[in-house]
Amino acid sequence: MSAPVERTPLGHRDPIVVGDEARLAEHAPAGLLILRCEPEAAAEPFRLATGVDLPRAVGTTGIGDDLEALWLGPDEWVLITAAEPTRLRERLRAGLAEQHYQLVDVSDAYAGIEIGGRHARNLLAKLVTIDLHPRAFAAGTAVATMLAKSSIWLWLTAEDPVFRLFVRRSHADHVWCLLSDAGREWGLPPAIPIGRVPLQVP
Amino acid sequence: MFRITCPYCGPREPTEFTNGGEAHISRPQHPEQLSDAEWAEFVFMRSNTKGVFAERWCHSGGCRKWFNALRDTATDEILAVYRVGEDRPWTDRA
Amino acid sequence: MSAQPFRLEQGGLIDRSRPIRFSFAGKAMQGYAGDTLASALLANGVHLVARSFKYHRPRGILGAGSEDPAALVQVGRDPATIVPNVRATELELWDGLEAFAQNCWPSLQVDVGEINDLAARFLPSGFYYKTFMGPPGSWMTFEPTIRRAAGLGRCPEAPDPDRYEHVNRHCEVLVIGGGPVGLAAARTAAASGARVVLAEETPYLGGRLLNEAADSSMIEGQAGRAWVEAVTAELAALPEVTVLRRTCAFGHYDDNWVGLVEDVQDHLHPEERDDRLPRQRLWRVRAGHVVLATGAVERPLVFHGNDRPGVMLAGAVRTFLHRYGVLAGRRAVVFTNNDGAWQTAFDLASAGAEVAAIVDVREAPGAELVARAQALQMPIHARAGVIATRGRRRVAGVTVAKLDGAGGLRGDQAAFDCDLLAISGGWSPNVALFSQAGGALVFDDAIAAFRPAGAHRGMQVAGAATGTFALADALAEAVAAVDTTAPQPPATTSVESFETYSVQPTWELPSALPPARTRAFVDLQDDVTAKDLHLAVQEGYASVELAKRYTTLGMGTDQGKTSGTNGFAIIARALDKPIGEVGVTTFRPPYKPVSFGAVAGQHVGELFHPRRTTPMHEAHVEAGAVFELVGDWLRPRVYPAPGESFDDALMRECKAARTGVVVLDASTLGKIDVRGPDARTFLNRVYTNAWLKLAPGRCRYGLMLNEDGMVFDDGVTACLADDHFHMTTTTGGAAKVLSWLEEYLQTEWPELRVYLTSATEQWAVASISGPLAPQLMADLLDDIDPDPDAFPFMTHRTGHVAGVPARVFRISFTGELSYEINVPTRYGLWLWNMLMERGAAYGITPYGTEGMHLLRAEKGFIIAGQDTDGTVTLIDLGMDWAVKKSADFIGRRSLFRSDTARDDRRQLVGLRTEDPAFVIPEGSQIIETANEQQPRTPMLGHVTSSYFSPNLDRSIALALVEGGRGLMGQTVYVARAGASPAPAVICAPDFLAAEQGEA
Repeated sequence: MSAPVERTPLGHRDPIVVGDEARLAEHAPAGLLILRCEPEAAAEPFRLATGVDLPRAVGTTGIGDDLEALWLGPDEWVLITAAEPTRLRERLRAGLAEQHYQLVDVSDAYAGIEIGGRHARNLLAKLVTIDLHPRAFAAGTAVATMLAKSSIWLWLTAEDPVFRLFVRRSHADHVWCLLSDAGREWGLPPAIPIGRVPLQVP
Repeated sequence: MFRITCPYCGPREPTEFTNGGEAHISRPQHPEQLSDAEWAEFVFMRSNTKGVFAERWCHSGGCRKWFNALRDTATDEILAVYRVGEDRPWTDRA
Repeated sequence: MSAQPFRLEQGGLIDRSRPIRFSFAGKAMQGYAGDTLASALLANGVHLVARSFKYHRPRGILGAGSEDPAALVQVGRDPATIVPNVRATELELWDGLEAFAQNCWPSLQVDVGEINDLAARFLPSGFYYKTFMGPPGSWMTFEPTIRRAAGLGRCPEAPDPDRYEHVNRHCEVLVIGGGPVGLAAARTAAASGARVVLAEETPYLGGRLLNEAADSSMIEGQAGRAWVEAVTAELAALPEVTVLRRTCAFGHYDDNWVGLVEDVQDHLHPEERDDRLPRQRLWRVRAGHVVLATGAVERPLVFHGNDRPGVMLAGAVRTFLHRYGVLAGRRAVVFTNNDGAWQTAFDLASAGAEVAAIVDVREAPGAELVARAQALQMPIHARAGVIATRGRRRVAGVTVAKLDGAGGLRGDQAAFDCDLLAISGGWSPNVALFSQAGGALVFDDAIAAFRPAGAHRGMQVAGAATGTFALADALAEAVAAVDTTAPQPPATTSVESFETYSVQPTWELPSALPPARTRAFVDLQDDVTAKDLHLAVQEGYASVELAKRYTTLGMGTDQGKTSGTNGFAIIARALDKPIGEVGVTTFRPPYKPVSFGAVAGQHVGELFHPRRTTPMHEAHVEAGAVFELVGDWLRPRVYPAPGESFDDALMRECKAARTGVVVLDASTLGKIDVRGPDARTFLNRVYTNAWLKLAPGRCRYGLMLNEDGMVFDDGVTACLADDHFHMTTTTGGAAKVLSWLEEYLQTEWPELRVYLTSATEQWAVASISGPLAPQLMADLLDDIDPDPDAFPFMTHRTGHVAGVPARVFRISFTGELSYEINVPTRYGLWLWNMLMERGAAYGITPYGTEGMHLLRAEKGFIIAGQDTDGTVTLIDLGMDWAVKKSADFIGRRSLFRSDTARDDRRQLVGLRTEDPAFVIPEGSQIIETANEQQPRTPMLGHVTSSYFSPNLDRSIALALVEGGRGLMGQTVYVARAGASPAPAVICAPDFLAAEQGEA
């Protein structure tokens, strides 16, 4: 039997770099977990289990050694880890055992895209309606919002700027192509979505 | 294109929201005890207000939370937003 | 190539070192860089530019910018990029530009359609409505002919090759209009560090300061144009200020959402255009404050023959003179009711033109103006009006008469020769966006025009846009509009006549001709005359909104910028009401035409809408699958082999499912992780059947209803642990089911401790089905025994496939023995390829959604959304077995409503056609008798699913039929287009069971 082969959501897309103008690359973290819980009760056990303060307001994040927590809603977070998530999951299960919570592994359900370069904000502004100005969206900010017709989580990890964008896997190629198209004026190439196959009726 | 302020996420464009119709209509506790007419009132009948209207919205493109808003249907001004379970705020408009 | 006889030696913003060749109506001409088509045509002495919409009357250049009503041309020849109805006054020249006259045949000079003008007295307002009332349907006959005769440009006929894009933009202050007021407002706003966007419709900042002699106005010690340059440079140096030229604010929407459309490249020579840039950009601006500095629009005067080419707005004449160095005529008559136009007379004289007369309707125009005119030896006719013009394709002279002050003539008439008539009926604040925003307007007698009543919901208006014409006052307003605490406004001095603006309302001049022969135009684009408006009122269209629609006043591409106020005033007078009481028609976006390309932006073609692809997509493409969209998902429909037809492939796949082993990519099924101590209670409330006792390791099929009792979605849910479930939904229903469940949890039952999270894309799913499935599964599974006895139907197991963690479900939608393998999505493609590789030994056949639909129809299984349409209850479907007796659930009460409990509702049944080869088209109507005619045969229902079944070797169909379950074995008829009704027998939906029962 052929050995299992893993595919990342955008494995078919090569990174694009146009000097320091704009760049686009897949950035697939090893683990993504959705955490649902009541923060009043669960924040402290969460901190004990992970060393991270659960962020409590829109836009905020909690950063630890091997874990980043983005606020998605008043009782929902995505936990991002560069390591394989099994151990984190076990730690959280143990720590939250007394809580009413939900922990769902969505490592395979989302694609990660990194958008950098000095035009990154202008590029995203063609597709995202929220205010991305440094005054409104400083480094460390993360929100759940829309990119064109796709739901995304958008996180500015560095003021360079470097954005990390998470989108459901099935939308990833479409979003990649939208981003590449939005960067045309800075030299990014046009891209054809893989979903652009002819539809045929008998 | 009125802007909606999600009580959890702040102001966002309307494309991030879905409308859920009139607010403050509770599902009856004991549907089986209602007459056809009473049940139909709950399922089908909604007011069609000109002026301040309490309606439900879901921030479907963001935090996925439902909340209520008071909107003046004549001007599309959103006068207040409030969370599920909170009382309808007072306004000086009809 | 002709010379430019009307171009001045110097002056203007054009670059005389860069001559530009262009052609209009087939004639080659020359202009300069910086020209518009209009200024270049005027420089060449060309005034006749177009033919009017209805009467094909000669049309010239009335205005100098976006207000111009009728100088519309066609640009280009390429059927993909040709643009109709381009305003000559806004079209910037580039070398080689080809513009064409529109709405004329055979030529602009000789237009056969002009015959409409001779028949004008028989073509009044409402002519079409009155004349073509004929028998029903006759309009369809007349319409194409009328359309050909009346109409403007030609549309492009090929797909648009240009790119467009949307840009979202947030700012604290959006300033609309880049004249002195806009510049001052932007500079003041930017001083506080605010983000400022300044949108200017033309290529130039400076507005009216560019339409006057360079030394006319002094601002902060600098001449007007120098001040503009200084402020422009200041703004350009500020990182938080964005100045957009060639950018029109076309629409204001709620909460200061303003649409701007920017022409990025149209003004460039095609070879200079950058293919990395879009043709146009649509800026979607969300502004904290909007400052309207949109200036004012000059009104024409309404008199007989006022539409002749060579009749121009006095302000436009100044604009052409000072911006473009073009003299619009050599011998001019100036006709006005206000001070502003006198400046035009003075400026024309300075530029070397002769002013044959200044005609002012006022008894006593300002003494200072009169003194200046007398010093220049200009004949002045006070309390007089132009009552007629003459000339064939261009004005050659005017008739001036004394007015009696009561709307009549005093008798004395004089004729003057001229090649230019500069007219001014006063200035109307440009309130379109203010009014779009819902701002209230008042009629201000001092300026004889409507202006904003005040600020409105985050919108301030400053300068001429609110009727403040004096430059110093306007600049003070600009500053106050953005910052009431700001220091002194810019210090100004000005010699321009606006400093002492006064106007006498003049809506309609008397005529020496009988009314039937008087042609005094209000709307030059739509050919609406004053007489038309009087007629509309006479016929009872007693409001501006009705009169507008009846006459088409202001309904052209210019949105009545020059005709609105005059038209409303004439209607008001006809109604004998004050103008302010009659009001204005509603201003609506767009302020100016916006291309469909800009509206669509980058979201076209391949990027229009996401098509969701599964992790196995690549393999399906390689296998030659034919795809369909299910929701947004792209799913293989069938997999035709090379040379195989769609139908043959479908038959092959469906036979294989019942004789061998087949595999389906089921990754698209919605999956929801349900967890919490109240998860069972929750499922019990949302599904119609019972969930309290489902043991871990087991699965159950469930139906969801809306509160109205209608089927909403269905799927299988597996119990993973007492408080943990894996719910599946239909592919198309996944998102709506999750949000519907969240809605109930958040709003109706917040006390239930349950969390929901979508897991749809975490799992790649292959559904393996068919008699040989267990053997293949035995080869694949590391640690699960696939034997149906050990792994019974409606259970699930956790284990591994080649070391990859997997959840396997024993559920079936085909009626065959089936396994659904779920693996983490990253392994999805591998799983599919591996199944094909390992399955080869068993002749594995991939099948698509079409086969899946056919196979389940053979079993009589429904597809929510195909066999249901929101009007079908589960009782209608014969699924009463899924209704629990023990507890309430969503929609339960509705099942007992008198209407839903009727036994003559449409019920799901099978249909066997008498002719087994006849496959009924889905959607066909089912009727009671073969006689479609008299008496009308009762309509019984319709067909929801229909296929040719290769396994049963006959056609099968599912249908919703009134009281259908009581009609088993009876013959009904299927109505057909172009053929007699086909007989079919009603049967149970499970065709396979019936077949096996017979066997």
